[in-house]
Amino acid sequence: MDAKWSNLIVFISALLFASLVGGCAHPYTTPEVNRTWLNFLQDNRTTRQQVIAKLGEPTASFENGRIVAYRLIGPNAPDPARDIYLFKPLDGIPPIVARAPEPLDEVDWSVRLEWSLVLVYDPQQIVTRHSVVRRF
Amino acid sequence: MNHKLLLIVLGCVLCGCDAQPQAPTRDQIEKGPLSFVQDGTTTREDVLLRFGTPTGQFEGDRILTFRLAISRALEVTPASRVALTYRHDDQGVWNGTTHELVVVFDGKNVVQKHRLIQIQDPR
Repeated sequence: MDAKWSNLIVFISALLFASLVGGCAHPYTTPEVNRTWLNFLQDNRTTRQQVIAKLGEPTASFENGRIVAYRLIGPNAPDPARDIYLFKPLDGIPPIVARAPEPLDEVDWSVRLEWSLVLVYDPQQIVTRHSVVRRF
Repeated sequence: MNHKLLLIVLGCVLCGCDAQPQAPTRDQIEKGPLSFVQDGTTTREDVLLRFGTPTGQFEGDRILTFRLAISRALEVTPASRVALTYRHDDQGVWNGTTHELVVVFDGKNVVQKHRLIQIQDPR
């Protein structure tokens, strides 16, 4: 096998490896969401009042408000410097908590990332358990 | 020798891209990622913490439904409640959904019964 073929195989191998590794990269992972957007949340410490002050009204409520859920929407180009934006209900769609670059028209919702934040409160209105679930 | 090795590696990578495991059976899913859902034991709290906001809600919150994408590798990703295109077309909401999980809770907020319905073959 001559050097030309050898170089070609090396090149293709490198290209495939790079695309495989690149394909695994995620623009915004669930741990990052916890670290950046939700770092104020601590089980057995954070109160319902603090959550509402940060995230507003929840998207869904269960067991008379003991369990609540928020939809977290993030575009594919996160900017940690921005604040969380609250979206008003739109044509029956529940409020959405989103972080988006300004102006919001520039958000490409077709490539957005979405998570569901679920919070469980105790009778003293303190978060006892919470989870962040990635959705598609 | 090095060339042969490179060709083998290249072949493995290409074959690996094409190899796809068998579609999981309901039994495999029930005993795998959904094994935590046990009638008479699992609470609503546990289900919601695992799957997030349900895609459907009936009779208050007695019956919850979750659209799920279950991969051939048994990875479960819950679906969003709205279409990816952010329009109101229900068709978009179902894109990617492979199964729907229907969960019925009793008066003590414990799973009374559940059923997994296959919508389409896993990808």
